[in-house]
Amino acid sequence: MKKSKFYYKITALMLVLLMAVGCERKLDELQLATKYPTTPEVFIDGFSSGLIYAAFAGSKPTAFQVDDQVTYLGTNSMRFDVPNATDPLGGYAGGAFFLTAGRDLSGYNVLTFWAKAYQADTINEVGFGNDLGANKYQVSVSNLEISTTWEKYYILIPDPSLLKQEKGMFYYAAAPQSGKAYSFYIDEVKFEKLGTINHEVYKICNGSNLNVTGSTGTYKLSDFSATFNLPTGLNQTETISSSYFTFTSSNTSVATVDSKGVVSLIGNGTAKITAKVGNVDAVGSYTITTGGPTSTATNPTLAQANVISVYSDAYTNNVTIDDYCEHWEWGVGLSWHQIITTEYSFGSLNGNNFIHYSNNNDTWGLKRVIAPIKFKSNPKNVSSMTYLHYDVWVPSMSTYTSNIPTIGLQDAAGLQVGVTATSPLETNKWVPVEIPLSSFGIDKTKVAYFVFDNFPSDIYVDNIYFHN
Amino acid sequence: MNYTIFKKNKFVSAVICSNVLISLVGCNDNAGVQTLPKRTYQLVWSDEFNNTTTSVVDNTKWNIDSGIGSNNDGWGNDEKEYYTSRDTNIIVKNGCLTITALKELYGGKSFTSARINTKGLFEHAYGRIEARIKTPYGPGIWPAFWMMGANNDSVVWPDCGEIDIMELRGQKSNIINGTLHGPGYSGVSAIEKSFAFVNDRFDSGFHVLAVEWGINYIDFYVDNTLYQEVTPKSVPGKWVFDHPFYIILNVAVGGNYVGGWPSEQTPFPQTMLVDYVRVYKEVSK
Repeated sequence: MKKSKFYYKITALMLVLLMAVGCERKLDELQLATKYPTTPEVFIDGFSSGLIYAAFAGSKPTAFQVDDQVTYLGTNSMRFDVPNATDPLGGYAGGAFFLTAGRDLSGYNVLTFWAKAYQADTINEVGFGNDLGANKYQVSVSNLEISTTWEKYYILIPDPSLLKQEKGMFYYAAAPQSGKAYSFYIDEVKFEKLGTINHEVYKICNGSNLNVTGSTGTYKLSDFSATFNLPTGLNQTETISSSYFTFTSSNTSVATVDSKGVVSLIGNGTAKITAKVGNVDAVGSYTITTGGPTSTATNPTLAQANVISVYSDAYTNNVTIDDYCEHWEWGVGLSWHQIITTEYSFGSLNGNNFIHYSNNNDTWGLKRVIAPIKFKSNPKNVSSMTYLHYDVWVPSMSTYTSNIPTIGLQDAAGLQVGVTATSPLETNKWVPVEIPLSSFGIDKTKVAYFVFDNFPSDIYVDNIYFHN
Repeated sequence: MNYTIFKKNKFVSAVICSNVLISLVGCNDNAGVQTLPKRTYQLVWSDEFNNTTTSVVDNTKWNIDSGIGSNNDGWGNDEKEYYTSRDTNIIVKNGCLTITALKELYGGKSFTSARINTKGLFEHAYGRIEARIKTPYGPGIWPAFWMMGANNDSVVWPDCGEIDIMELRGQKSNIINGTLHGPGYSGVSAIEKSFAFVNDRFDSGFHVLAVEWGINYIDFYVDNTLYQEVTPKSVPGKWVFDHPFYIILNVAVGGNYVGGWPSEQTPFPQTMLVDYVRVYKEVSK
């Protein structure tokens, strides 16, 4: 006896429900093995050719049914009965509609469907690209709001040229609302090529320009999304797989990035990771600076009342900073004109922030940091304090000038005194430094500058404060 | 692909039935080929917005409007924007006039934008008036390319006449409307027809919006498609399109035409790009 064509497999992971499988062999399916059918229909009045449904593990397997009573168009629709949270057969509804062979979707730009419910409901996740396997090109919209009338919904395909053999046609996951069951309907699921959606914007790192410091190992990029404009003129955002992006590192001797957005650190320096979808630049970037601190400075334990803080995450900073590195000049217009060229940026490690000072381009011909932190518009009275404190991390002494690093305090009248900072300098660790304020013969009721002077050309500083 | 939507209005459709001179076939992929009137034109005025030395609009051609209208009523339409001349709202760059609507508090309003006109600088009757435009989009956004009778200080609207070459409701940015206002046919009774793209949007690329205006007709065009022709016989009042009009370009935010306010989710900023405005006179064959 001939075996039926319509087999289903039960695997360890899922229960596959046999649904009506179209058995017409369309002409466009009888193709060379290298080309896949371009059929756009997923579910119209029944399953399109080759489509199979499988419920996700833990979901109620019977949540999905074909319905012939409530349809948008034609004879049948898909009905989803989301169970009560306490349902013994499964506390949510979810599953994937997929193919065993793939389809070539490169001629389409959007998945569309119509949906409605008996009361306004939210489908937690709906999309395509879930093939119950690698889900390489998965796209989803979260918390899709459906109403009591049939409305059309759109899910953008970020780069259709990648979907030459896609198996994941449609998937959903819906949890009960406030623990209670509800039903919704979906109909006319198909891929289309529409000119009524546009203004696609792709993002990595949620569109932010992230700055991180690191030492060794790998870092994974995240928060990939696409936003586009619907025919209604409103935007919709969807989560998309990192596989739609190509990634680039601005400096591969510092960091490389692979096709999955995993960044590997190679050497010291700064590298900026950016991405594209097709030819379109994505918004957002990930800049990693290596060679900096691999731990955070010891958290200060003094009470806030005993501290006047210039820069620290541990305290409310009560010095108003005008400039973290004022570029002082001497001899303007003269042959010996000199200017401070130290630059600064902020870095963080494990949520703890620090200042990075660097200067490889000194006008004196030296590689060193001179960094006057200015608070002259609000000079600080530190006469009740007895010490100043800071933590410093020096990555390397190799470019150091051998001038002795000093800390300078300058008062509002311009009198500055410098005191030897640390002796000897240590590298690749946070070194706490304490200097008695009695060493500074200036007007301590009006301190206007805190200066790192003659330091190595690459330093990180944190927890700058006065205390008693 | 495009086709013509007939306005769902009993009065207008009655007018269309008796006066349509074009042979468009609706809803087909390959619409019936139009036989367009052959007219010869000569350029008499234009602004190509190709400024290289300044980003300010040419003040020999355009006045820049300011505020909320002389009657403090949102320019007669309950519009929600405050028009300014700041370069954040109006600037010429990259060969285009750029009008940007912003969501910001200014002058007691929640939005700003820009509006320019040629009153007292260029006033003209008849010929072909066209602009190449890429529109903004989004609920509550209302761009327009239009003309007003230059006698509107002495002859009160609608008797001075108004020709709307293009107006768009941002919540349906695949559709524009071409409209005539005059005595007995203004506001909700204006002579209006829509043009819709089935699979494209006016904010996805540039299109040429035009009218061809003769003694006994005003024809409305989107690119090379004639979608409305109005004649003195089709209007239920006096035909007032027989004297000079001036040109207006603006992006309004909210107002009666777009149903009140923009949505909370309307994307901002919204930009209208105008590549050029050209005015031709017809020359005899």
